[in-house]
Amino acid sequence: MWLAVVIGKGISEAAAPGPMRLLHRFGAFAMLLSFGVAVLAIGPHFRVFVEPFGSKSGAAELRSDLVRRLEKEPRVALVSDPGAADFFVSGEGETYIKGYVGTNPRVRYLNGDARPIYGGYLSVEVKDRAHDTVWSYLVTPRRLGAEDINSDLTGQVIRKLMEAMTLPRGSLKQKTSSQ
Amino acid sequence: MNGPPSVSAHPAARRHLDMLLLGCRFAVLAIGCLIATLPLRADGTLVGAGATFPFPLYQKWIASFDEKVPDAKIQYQPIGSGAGIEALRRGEVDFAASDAPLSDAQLSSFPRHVVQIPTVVGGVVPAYHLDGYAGDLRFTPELLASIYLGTITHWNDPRLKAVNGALRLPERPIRVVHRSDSSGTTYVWTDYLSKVSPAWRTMVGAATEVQWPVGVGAEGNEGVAAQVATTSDSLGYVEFIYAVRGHLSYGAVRNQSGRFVSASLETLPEAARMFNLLKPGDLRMSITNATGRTAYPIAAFTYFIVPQTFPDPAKGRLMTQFLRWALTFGQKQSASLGYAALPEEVAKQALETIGGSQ
Repeated sequence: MWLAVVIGKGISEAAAPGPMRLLHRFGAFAMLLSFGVAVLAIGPHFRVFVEPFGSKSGAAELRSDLVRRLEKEPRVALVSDPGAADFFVSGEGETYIKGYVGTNPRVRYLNGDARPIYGGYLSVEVKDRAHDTVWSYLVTPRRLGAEDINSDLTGQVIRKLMEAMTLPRGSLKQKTSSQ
Repeated sequence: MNGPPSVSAHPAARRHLDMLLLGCRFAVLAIGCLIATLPLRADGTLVGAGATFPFPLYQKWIASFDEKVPDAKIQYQPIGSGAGIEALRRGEVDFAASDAPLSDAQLSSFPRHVVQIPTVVGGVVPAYHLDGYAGDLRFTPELLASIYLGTITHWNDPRLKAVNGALRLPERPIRVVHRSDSSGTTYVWTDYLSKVSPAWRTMVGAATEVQWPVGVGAEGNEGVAAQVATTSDSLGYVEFIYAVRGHLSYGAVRNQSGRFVSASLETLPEAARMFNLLKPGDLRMSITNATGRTAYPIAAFTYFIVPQTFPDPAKGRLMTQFLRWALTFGQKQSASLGYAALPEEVAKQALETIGGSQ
Protein backbone atom coordinates (compact mmCIF):
# COMPACT_ATOMS: atom_id res chain seq x y z
CA MET A 1 0.00 0.00 0.00
CA TRP A 2 2.87 2.35 0.91
CA LEU A 3 4.50 1.60 -2.39
CA ALA A 4 1.27 2.49 -4.21
CA VAL A 5 1.04 5.80 -2.33
CA VAL A 6 4.66 6.65 -3.14
CA ILE A 7 4.13 5.81 -6.82
CA GLY A 8 0.91 7.83 -6.75
CA LYS A 9 2.82 10.74 -5.23
CA GLY A 10 5.33 10.56 -8.07
CA ILE A 11 2.53 10.81 -10.61
CA SER A 12 0.57 13.51 -8.84
CA GLU A 13 3.62 15.62 -7.80
CA ALA A 14 4.26 17.06 -11.24
CA ALA A 15 0.82 18.63 -11.28
CA ALA A 16 0.87 19.85 -7.65
CA PRO A 17 1.60 23.50 -6.72
CA GLY A 18 4.87 24.45 -4.77
CA PRO A 19 3.78 24.04 -1.09
CA MET A 20 1.81 20.93 -1.94
CA ARG A 21 4.88 19.46 -3.66
CA LEU A 22 6.86 20.04 -0.45
CA LEU A 23 4.11 18.37 1.54
CA HIS A 24 4.12 15.42 -0.83
CA ARG A 25 7.87 15.06 -0.49
CA PHE A 26 7.63 15.19 3.30
CA GLY A 27 4.88 12.60 3.22
CA ALA A 28 6.91 10.31 0.99
CA PHE A 29 9.94 10.66 3.27
CA ALA A 30 7.84 9.87 6.37
CA MET A 31 6.41 6.82 4.66
CA LEU A 32 9.84 5.56 3.63
CA LEU A 33 11.07 6.10 7.18
CA SER A 34 8.16 4.18 8.66
CA PHE A 35 8.73 1.44 6.09
CA GLY A 36 12.38 1.18 7.21
CA VAL A 37 11.36 1.04 10.86
CA ALA A 38 8.79 -1.63 10.04
CA VAL A 39 11.42 -3.72 8.23
CA LEU A 40 13.69 -3.48 11.26
CA ALA A 41 10.81 -4.48 13.52
CA ILE A 42 10.00 -7.49 11.34
CA GLY A 43 13.70 -8.60 11.24
CA PRO A 44 14.96 -11.27 13.65
CA HIS A 45 14.83 -10.29 17.29
CA PHE A 46 16.79 -11.92 20.05
CA ARG A 47 15.76 -12.03 23.64
CA VAL A 48 19.00 -11.92 25.53
CA PHE A 49 19.71 -12.58 29.19
CA VAL A 50 23.01 -11.22 30.45
CA GLU A 51 24.38 -13.18 33.38
CA PRO A 52 26.60 -11.69 36.11
CA PHE A 53 30.25 -11.31 35.10
CA GLY A 54 31.79 -12.45 38.39
CA SER A 55 33.34 -10.51 41.20
CA LYS A 56 36.76 -9.57 39.85
CA SER A 57 37.82 -5.93 39.81
CA GLY A 58 35.99 -4.05 37.06
CA ALA A 59 33.76 -7.00 36.07
CA ALA A 60 30.52 -5.23 37.01
CA GLU A 61 31.51 -2.13 35.00
CA LEU A 62 32.36 -4.29 31.99
CA ARG A 63 28.96 -5.95 32.22
CA SER A 64 27.17 -2.57 32.50
CA ASP A 65 29.04 -1.29 29.46
CA LEU A 66 28.17 -4.37 27.42
CA VAL A 67 24.52 -4.14 28.51
CA ARG A 68 24.47 -0.47 27.45
CA ARG A 69 25.77 -1.46 24.02
CA LEU A 70 23.29 -4.31 23.69
CA GLU A 71 20.42 -1.95 24.58
CA LYS A 72 21.36 0.15 21.56
CA GLU A 73 21.11 -2.82 19.22
CA PRO A 74 17.71 -2.69 17.47
CA ARG A 75 17.43 -6.47 17.17
CA VAL A 76 18.19 -7.23 20.80
CA ALA A 77 15.63 -7.26 23.56
CA LEU A 78 17.22 -7.70 26.97
CA VAL A 79 15.15 -9.81 29.33
CA SER A 80 15.35 -10.20 33.08
CA ASP A 81 13.75 -13.64 33.10
CA PRO A 82 16.20 -16.36 31.98
CA GLY A 83 13.22 -18.52 31.00
CA ALA A 84 12.27 -16.00 28.31
CA ALA A 85 15.70 -15.76 26.70
CA ASP A 86 16.83 -17.03 23.30
CA PHE A 87 20.48 -16.46 24.18
CA PHE A 88 22.44 -16.28 27.40
CA VAL A 89 25.49 -14.04 27.50
CA SER A 90 27.95 -14.91 30.23
CA GLY A 91 31.24 -13.22 30.81
CA GLU A 92 34.33 -12.95 32.89
CA GLY A 93 36.49 -9.89 33.00
CA GLU A 94 38.90 -7.83 34.95
CA THR A 95 40.46 -4.39 34.66
CA TYR A 96 43.36 -2.93 36.59
CA ILE A 97 45.95 -0.19 36.36
CA LYS A 98 49.23 -1.53 34.95
CA GLY A 99 51.13 1.66 35.58
CA TYR A 100 51.28 5.34 34.76
CA VAL A 101 52.89 7.37 32.03
CA GLY A 102 53.92 10.97 32.47
CA THR A 103 52.43 13.42 30.03
CA ASN A 104 55.36 15.82 30.18
CA PRO A 105 58.51 14.41 28.50
CA ARG A 106 60.70 16.89 30.42
CA VAL A 107 59.64 15.52 33.79
CA ARG A 108 61.53 12.32 34.67
CA TYR A 109 59.25 11.46 37.59
CA LEU A 110 55.51 10.88 37.67
CA ASN A 111 53.49 13.86 38.80
CA GLY A 112 49.79 14.63 39.12
CA ASP A 113 49.43 14.76 35.33
CA ALA A 114 50.45 11.13 34.93
CA ARG A 115 48.01 9.07 32.91
CA PRO A 116 47.08 5.53 33.97
CA ILE A 117 47.65 2.62 31.60
CA TYR A 118 45.08 -0.09 32.03
CA GLY A 119 45.38 -3.80 31.69
CA GLY A 120 42.65 -6.40 31.72
CA TYR A 121 40.56 -8.69 29.62
CA LEU A 122 36.99 -9.54 28.76
CA SER A 123 35.86 -13.07 27.99
CA VAL A 124 32.34 -13.54 26.64
CA GLU A 125 30.38 -16.69 25.90
CA VAL A 126 26.98 -17.04 24.23
CA LYS A 127 24.79 -20.05 24.96
CA ASP A 128 21.51 -21.06 23.37
CA ARG A 129 18.34 -22.30 25.06
CA ALA A 130 19.81 -25.78 25.36
CA HIS A 131 22.74 -24.17 27.22
CA ASP A 132 25.14 -25.21 24.50
CA THR A 133 27.90 -22.71 23.76
CA VAL A 134 27.38 -21.25 20.31
CA TRP A 135 30.19 -18.70 20.39
CA SER A 136 32.90 -17.32 22.63
CA TYR A 137 35.68 -14.77 22.50
CA LEU A 138 38.33 -13.07 24.61
CA VAL A 139 39.76 -9.61 24.13
CA THR A 140 42.58 -7.66 25.75
CA PRO A 141 43.12 -3.88 25.57
CA ARG A 142 43.73 -2.81 22.01
CA ARG A 143 44.98 0.71 22.51
CA LEU A 144 47.90 1.39 24.78
CA GLY A 145 46.74 3.61 27.60
CA ALA A 146 43.11 3.67 26.51
CA GLU A 147 41.26 6.28 28.54
CA ASP A 148 38.21 4.06 28.86
CA ILE A 149 39.24 0.44 29.24
CA ASN A 150 35.61 -0.75 29.52
CA SER A 151 34.66 0.89 26.27
CA ASP A 152 37.79 -0.48 24.57
CA LEU A 153 37.05 -4.08 25.60
CA THR A 154 33.27 -4.11 25.08
CA GLY A 155 33.67 -2.22 21.80
CA GLN A 156 35.86 -5.04 20.48
CA VAL A 157 33.35 -7.68 21.53
CA ILE A 158 29.97 -6.22 20.56
CA ARG A 159 30.25 -6.48 16.78
CA LYS A 160 31.43 -10.08 16.90
CA LEU A 161 28.78 -10.93 19.48
CA MET A 162 25.99 -9.50 17.30
CA GLU A 163 27.33 -11.42 14.29
CA ALA A 164 27.29 -14.61 16.35
CA MET A 165 23.64 -14.17 17.35
CA THR A 166 22.51 -13.05 13.90
CA LEU A 167 24.02 -15.92 11.95
CA PRO A 168 21.80 -18.92 11.30
CA ARG A 169 22.83 -21.86 13.49
CA GLY A 170 24.35 -23.82 10.61
CA SER A 171 26.61 -20.98 9.51
CA LEU A 172 27.46 -20.24 13.13
CA LYS A 173 28.81 -23.73 13.56
CA GLN A 174 30.85 -23.32 10.42
CA LYS A 175 32.17 -19.93 11.43
CA THR A 176 33.14 -21.02 14.92
CA SER A 177 34.94 -24.10 13.74
CA SER A 178 36.98 -22.11 11.27
CA GLN A 179 38.11 -19.55 13.80
CA MET B 1 -2.83 -62.21 -14.60
CA ASN B 2 -2.04 -64.01 -11.37
CA GLY B 3 0.91 -61.98 -10.18
CA PRO B 4 0.94 -60.02 -6.90
CA PRO B 5 -1.39 -57.03 -6.92
CA SER B 6 0.40 -53.83 -7.85
CA VAL B 7 0.05 -50.93 -5.40
CA SER B 8 -0.49 -48.54 -8.24
CA ALA B 9 -3.39 -50.65 -9.36
CA HIS B 10 -5.23 -50.09 -6.01
CA PRO B 11 -5.69 -46.41 -5.03
CA ALA B 12 -7.20 -47.35 -1.64
CA ALA B 13 -4.21 -49.56 -0.75
CA ARG B 14 -1.83 -46.82 -1.83
CA ARG B 15 -3.62 -44.29 0.43
CA HIS B 16 -3.23 -46.68 3.35
CA LEU B 17 0.43 -47.22 2.56
CA ASP B 18 1.02 -43.44 2.33
CA MET B 19 -0.69 -42.93 5.71
CA LEU B 20 1.43 -45.70 7.21
CA LEU B 21 4.66 -44.20 5.81
CA LEU B 22 3.70 -40.75 7.07
CA GLY B 23 2.98 -42.18 10.52
CA CYS B 24 6.35 -43.94 10.53
CA ARG B 25 8.13 -40.70 9.57
CA PHE B 26 6.43 -38.83 12.42
CA ALA B 27 7.32 -41.60 14.84
CA VAL B 28 11.00 -41.58 13.76
CA LEU B 29 11.07 -37.78 14.03
CA ALA B 30 9.50 -37.84 17.48
CA ILE B 31 11.92 -40.51 18.73
CA GLY B 32 14.83 -38.52 17.25
CA CYS B 33 13.69 -35.36 19.03
CA LEU B 34 13.29 -37.27 22.28
CA ILE B 35 16.80 -38.74 22.01
CA ALA B 36 18.27 -35.32 21.21
CA THR B 37 16.77 -33.79 24.34
CA LEU B 38 17.85 -36.60 26.65
CA PRO B 39 21.21 -36.19 28.39
CA LEU B 40 23.97 -38.36 26.96
CA ARG B 41 24.66 -41.48 28.98
CA ALA B 42 28.05 -42.94 29.70
CA ASP B 43 29.24 -44.82 32.70
CA GLY B 44 32.80 -44.78 33.93
CA THR B 45 35.67 -42.65 35.10
CA LEU B 46 38.57 -41.37 33.05
CA VAL B 47 41.75 -39.98 34.53
CA GLY B 48 44.09 -37.90 32.42
CA ALA B 49 47.30 -36.01 33.16
CA GLY B 50 49.82 -33.83 31.41
CA ALA B 51 50.16 -30.39 29.87
CA THR B 52 49.51 -27.26 31.90
CA PHE B 53 49.36 -25.23 28.63
CA PRO B 54 45.69 -26.15 27.88
CA PHE B 55 44.69 -26.85 31.50
CA PRO B 56 42.31 -23.84 31.97
CA LEU B 57 40.36 -24.98 28.89
CA TYR B 58 40.36 -28.68 29.79
CA GLN B 59 38.98 -27.74 33.20
CA LYS B 60 36.14 -25.89 31.51
CA TRP B 61 35.54 -28.69 29.01
CA ILE B 62 35.35 -31.31 31.73
CA ALA B 63 32.87 -29.20 33.72
CA SER B 64 30.68 -28.64 30.65
CA PHE B 65 30.86 -32.29 29.57
CA ASP B 66 29.92 -33.31 33.10
CA GLU B 67 26.70 -31.26 32.78
CA LYS B 68 25.81 -33.06 29.56
CA VAL B 69 26.87 -36.54 30.68
CA PRO B 70 26.01 -36.70 34.37
CA ASP B 71 27.17 -40.30 34.87
CA ALA B 72 30.65 -39.67 33.49
CA LYS B 73 33.56 -38.65 35.67
CA ILE B 74 36.65 -37.18 34.04
CA GLN B 75 39.62 -35.93 36.02
CA TYR B 76 42.64 -34.12 34.66
CA GLN B 77 45.87 -33.45 36.54
CA PRO B 78 48.10 -30.65 35.15
CA ILE B 79 51.50 -32.20 35.98
CA GLY B 80 53.33 -31.19 32.80
CA SER B 81 53.47 -32.89 29.40
CA GLY B 82 56.47 -35.08 30.18
CA ALA B 83 55.09 -36.39 33.46
CA GLY B 84 51.69 -37.00 31.85
CA ILE B 85 53.22 -39.06 29.03
CA GLU B 86 55.23 -41.10 31.54
CA ALA B 87 52.09 -41.69 33.63
CA LEU B 88 50.30 -42.98 30.52
CA ARG B 89 53.28 -45.18 29.64
CA ARG B 90 53.14 -46.73 33.13
CA GLY B 91 49.38 -47.21 32.83
CA GLU B 92 48.63 -44.89 35.77
CA VAL B 93 46.24 -42.73 33.75
CA ASP B 94 43.79 -43.35 30.93
CA PHE B 95 45.03 -40.55 28.68
CA ALA B 96 47.77 -37.92 28.56
CA ALA B 97 47.96 -34.40 27.18
CA SER B 98 50.99 -32.74 25.62
CA ASP B 99 51.88 -29.73 23.52
CA ALA B 100 54.84 -31.66 22.11
CA PRO B 101 53.66 -34.41 19.77
CA LEU B 102 55.32 -37.78 20.33
CA SER B 103 58.12 -38.68 17.94
CA ASP B 104 58.13 -42.00 16.06
CA ALA B 105 60.72 -43.33 18.53
CA GLN B 106 58.56 -42.35 21.53
CA LEU B 107 55.50 -43.88 19.89
CA SER B 108 57.25 -47.18 19.26
CA SER B 109 58.49 -47.32 22.85
CA PHE B 110 54.91 -47.23 24.20
CA PRO B 111 53.69 -50.59 25.51
CA ARG B 112 50.38 -50.12 23.65
CA HIS B 113 49.41 -48.24 20.52
CA VAL B 114 48.38 -44.61 21.13
CA VAL B 115 46.88 -41.96 18.88
CA GLN B 116 47.49 -38.22 19.08
CA ILE B 117 44.48 -35.97 18.73
CA PRO B 118 45.00 -32.20 18.37
CA THR B 119 42.52 -30.28 20.51
CA VAL B 120 43.13 -26.52 20.18
CA VAL B 121 45.79 -23.95 19.29
CA GLY B 122 47.49 -21.80 21.91
CA GLY B 123 50.26 -19.25 21.99
CA VAL B 124 53.37 -18.95 24.13
CA VAL B 125 54.18 -15.35 25.05
CA PRO B 126 57.33 -13.70 26.41
CA ALA B 127 56.02 -12.38 29.73
CA TYR B 128 58.00 -9.83 31.70
CA HIS B 129 58.02 -7.85 34.91
CA LEU B 130 59.60 -4.44 34.59
CA ASP B 131 58.68 -2.11 37.42
CA GLY B 132 57.78 1.34 36.18
CA TYR B 133 57.32 0.23 32.56
CA ALA B 134 53.69 -0.12 31.63
CA GLY B 135 54.19 -0.08 27.87
CA ASP B 136 54.35 -3.13 25.62
CA LEU B 137 57.80 -4.37 24.69
CA ARG B 138 58.80 -5.70 21.30
CA PHE B 139 61.07 -8.67 20.73
CA THR B 140 62.74 -9.93 17.60
CA PRO B 141 63.41 -13.69 17.31
CA GLU B 142 67.15 -13.01 17.62
CA LEU B 143 66.62 -11.02 20.83
CA LEU B 144 64.67 -13.84 22.48
CA ALA B 145 67.30 -16.39 21.50
CA SER B 146 70.14 -14.14 22.70
CA ILE B 147 68.45 -13.47 26.06
CA TYR B 148 67.86 -17.18 26.65
CA LEU B 149 71.42 -18.00 25.46
CA GLY B 150 72.74 -15.46 27.95
CA THR B 151 74.40 -13.22 25.36
CA ILE B 152 72.02 -10.35 26.10
CA THR B 153 72.06 -9.83 29.84
CA HIS B 154 70.63 -6.34 30.51
CA TRP B 155 67.36 -4.65 29.70
CA ASN B 156 69.13 -1.60 28.31
CA ASP B 157 71.11 -3.63 25.75
CA PRO B 158 71.32 -1.55 22.55
CA ARG B 159 69.72 -4.38 20.55
CA LEU B 160 66.66 -4.30 22.82
CA LYS B 161 66.56 -0.51 22.75
CA ALA B 162 66.77 -0.53 18.96
CA VAL B 163 63.34 -2.15 18.61
CA ASN B 164 61.79 -0.37 21.61
CA GLY B 165 62.84 3.13 20.68
CA ALA B 166 60.28 5.06 22.69
CA LEU B 167 61.00 3.28 25.98
CA ARG B 168 63.89 4.12 28.30
CA LEU B 169 64.75 0.60 29.42
CA PRO B 170 66.52 0.19 32.77
CA GLU B 171 70.19 -0.61 33.27
CA ARG B 172 69.35 -3.74 35.20
CA PRO B 173 70.03 -7.45 34.57
CA ILE B 174 67.37 -9.58 32.89
CA ARG B 175 66.30 -12.36 35.24
CA VAL B 176 65.46 -15.25 32.94
CA VAL B 177 62.79 -17.73 34.04
CA HIS B 178 62.21 -21.12 32.38
CA ARG B 179 60.42 -24.35 33.15
CA SER B 180 62.04 -26.82 35.52
CA ASP B 181 59.83 -29.77 34.58
CA SER B 182 59.49 -31.68 31.34
CA SER B 183 57.15 -29.37 29.48
CA GLY B 184 55.32 -29.10 26.19
CA THR B 185 55.40 -25.32 26.55
CA THR B 186 59.21 -25.58 26.71
CA TYR B 187 59.07 -27.71 23.57
CA VAL B 188 57.08 -24.99 21.74
CA TRP B 189 59.44 -22.25 22.97
CA THR B 190 62.64 -24.14 22.10
CA ASP B 191 61.19 -25.38 18.79
CA TYR B 192 60.61 -21.74 17.87
CA LEU B 193 64.08 -20.63 19.01
CA SER B 194 65.65 -23.52 17.08
CA LYS B 195 63.90 -22.39 13.92
CA VAL B 196 64.93 -18.75 14.22
CA SER B 197 68.42 -19.06 15.72
CA PRO B 198 71.13 -21.37 14.34
CA ALA B 199 73.12 -20.76 17.56
CA TRP B 200 70.20 -21.98 19.68
CA ARG B 201 69.64 -24.98 17.43
CA THR B 202 73.30 -25.99 17.74
CA MET B 203 73.83 -25.26 21.43
CA VAL B 204 70.48 -26.12 23.00
CA GLY B 205 67.96 -27.55 20.52
CA ALA B 206 64.25 -28.28 20.84
CA ALA B 207 62.86 -30.63 23.49
CA THR B 208 60.54 -30.79 26.46
CA GLU B 209 63.63 -30.56 28.71
CA VAL B 210 66.86 -28.81 27.72
CA GLN B 211 70.13 -27.71 29.32
CA TRP B 212 69.31 -24.06 29.92
CA PRO B 213 72.32 -21.76 29.46
CA VAL B 214 70.87 -19.22 31.94
CA GLY B 215 67.91 -18.61 34.23
CA VAL B 216 65.96 -20.11 37.09
CA GLY B 217 63.36 -22.85 36.78
CA ALA B 218 59.73 -22.98 37.87
CA GLU B 219 57.20 -25.77 37.62
CA GLY B 220 54.24 -25.56 35.27
CA ASN B 221 52.86 -22.54 33.41
CA GLU B 222 51.38 -21.37 36.69
CA GLY B 223 54.77 -21.61 38.39
CA VAL B 224 56.53 -19.58 35.69
CA ALA B 225 53.73 -16.98 35.73
CA ALA B 226 54.03 -16.68 39.52
CA GLN B 227 57.83 -16.45 39.35
CA VAL B 228 57.66 -13.65 36.76
CA ALA B 229 54.94 -11.84 38.73
CA THR B 230 57.01 -11.82 41.89
CA THR B 231 60.48 -11.18 40.39
CA SER B 232 61.36 -7.69 39.26
CA ASP B 233 63.19 -7.44 35.91
CA SER B 234 62.25 -11.00 34.98
CA LEU B 235 61.37 -12.51 31.62
CA GLY B 236 59.68 -15.89 31.20
CA TYR B 237 57.50 -17.75 28.73
CA VAL B 238 53.95 -18.86 29.43
CA GLU B 239 50.80 -19.80 27.57
CA PHE B 240 48.78 -16.69 26.64
CA ILE B 241 45.91 -17.16 29.14
CA TYR B 242 48.34 -17.46 32.07
CA ALA B 243 49.78 -14.03 31.18
CA VAL B 244 46.32 -12.51 30.71
CA ARG B 245 44.88 -13.83 33.96
CA GLY B 246 48.12 -13.30 35.88
CA HIS B 247 48.25 -9.53 35.08
CA LEU B 248 51.58 -10.04 33.29
CA SER B 249 52.84 -7.79 30.55
CA TYR B 250 53.74 -9.72 27.45
CA GLY B 251 55.63 -8.66 24.39
CA ALA B 252 54.92 -8.54 20.70
CA VAL B 253 57.19 -10.79 18.63
CA ARG B 254 58.38 -10.05 15.10
CA ASN B 255 57.03 -12.67 12.71
CA GLN B 256 58.40 -13.89 9.38
CA SER B 257 56.75 -11.07 7.48
CA GLY B 258 58.52 -8.52 9.67
CA ARG B 259 55.51 -7.42 11.73
CA PHE B 260 55.52 -7.20 15.49
CA VAL B 261 52.53 -9.28 16.50
CA SER B 262 50.97 -9.93 19.92
CA ALA B 263 49.13 -13.13 20.76
CA SER B 264 45.37 -12.74 20.29
CA LEU B 265 42.35 -14.50 18.83
CA GLU B 266 43.12 -12.80 15.54
CA THR B 267 46.79 -13.74 15.27
CA LEU B 268 46.65 -17.31 16.67
CA PRO B 269 44.10 -18.62 14.13
CA GLU B 270 46.21 -17.02 11.40
CA ALA B 271 49.16 -19.14 12.56
CA ALA B 272 46.92 -22.23 12.81
CA ARG B 273 45.87 -21.82 9.19
CA MET B 274 49.51 -22.34 8.19
CA PHE B 275 49.45 -25.97 9.32
CA ASN B 276 51.07 -28.48 7.05
CA LEU B 277 50.24 -32.15 7.43
CA LEU B 278 53.28 -34.38 6.93
CA LYS B 279 50.99 -37.12 5.62
CA PRO B 280 47.23 -37.73 5.70
CA GLY B 281 46.12 -38.94 9.11
CA ASP B 282 49.33 -37.88 10.87
CA LEU B 283 48.25 -34.86 12.88
CA ARG B 284 51.63 -34.01 14.40
CA MET B 285 52.30 -30.49 13.20
CA SER B 286 54.53 -27.58 14.08
CA ILE B 287 53.20 -24.09 13.39
CA THR B 288 55.94 -22.11 15.13
CA ASN B 289 57.43 -19.33 12.99
CA ALA B 290 54.36 -19.46 10.71
CA THR B 291 54.46 -17.47 7.51
CA GLY B 292 51.09 -15.66 7.69
CA ARG B 293 51.20 -11.87 7.48
CA THR B 294 49.63 -11.36 10.91
CA ALA B 295 50.41 -14.83 12.29
CA TYR B 296 51.65 -14.98 15.86
CA PRO B 297 54.95 -16.86 15.53
CA ILE B 298 55.02 -18.86 18.80
CA ALA B 299 51.80 -20.84 18.38
CA ALA B 300 51.18 -24.57 18.72
CA PHE B 301 48.60 -27.30 18.55
CA THR B 302 48.13 -29.15 21.80
CA TYR B 303 47.22 -32.85 21.87
CA PHE B 304 45.44 -35.60 23.73
CA ILE B 305 47.42 -38.83 23.68
CA VAL B 306 44.97 -41.69 23.86
CA PRO B 307 45.38 -45.48 23.77
CA GLN B 308 43.87 -46.93 20.62
CA THR B 309 41.99 -49.53 22.63
CA PHE B 310 40.92 -49.70 26.28
CA PRO B 311 40.73 -52.97 28.21
CA ASP B 312 37.49 -51.64 29.73
CA PRO B 313 35.04 -51.02 26.85
CA ALA B 314 33.04 -48.53 28.97
CA LYS B 315 36.14 -46.34 29.33
CA GLY B 316 36.78 -46.59 25.61
CA ARG B 317 33.24 -45.45 24.85
CA LEU B 318 33.50 -42.55 27.30
CA MET B 319 36.87 -41.47 25.87
CA THR B 320 35.46 -41.45 22.34
CA GLN B 321 32.41 -39.55 23.50
CA PHE B 322 34.50 -36.93 25.30
CA LEU B 323 36.87 -36.50 22.36
CA ARG B 324 33.98 -36.09 19.93
CA TRP B 325 32.41 -33.50 22.24
CA ALA B 326 35.73 -31.65 22.60
CA LEU B 327 36.27 -31.56 18.82
CA THR B 328 32.78 -30.20 18.14
CA PHE B 329 30.99 -28.42 20.99
CA GLY B 330 34.20 -27.88 22.97
CA GLN B 331 35.75 -25.95 20.09
CA LYS B 332 33.18 -23.20 20.57
CA GLN B 333 34.31 -22.66 24.15
CA SER B 334 38.01 -22.45 23.31
CA ALA B 335 38.04 -18.74 22.45
CA SER B 336 36.62 -17.79 25.85
CA LEU B 337 40.02 -18.71 27.27
CA GLY B 338 42.15 -17.33 24.47
CA TYR B 339 42.71 -20.58 22.56
CA ALA B 340 41.98 -20.79 18.84
CA ALA B 341 39.71 -23.55 17.57
CA LEU B 342 41.22 -26.14 15.25
CA PRO B 343 41.13 -25.35 11.53
CA GLU B 344 38.18 -27.16 9.95
CA GLU B 345 40.37 -29.65 8.03
CA VAL B 346 42.34 -30.59 11.15
CA ALA B 347 39.17 -31.04 13.24
CA LYS B 348 37.71 -33.23 10.49
CA GLN B 349 40.78 -35.46 10.34
CA ALA B 350 40.90 -35.65 14.14
CA LEU B 351 37.27 -36.81 14.20
CA GLU B 352 38.07 -39.42 11.55
CA THR B 353 40.99 -40.63 13.68
CA ILE B 354 38.69 -41.08 16.67
CA GLY B 355 36.21 -42.92 14.53
CA GLY B 356 38.90 -45.39 13.64
CA SER B 357 40.56 -45.58 17.02
CA GLN B 358 37.86 -47.03 19.23
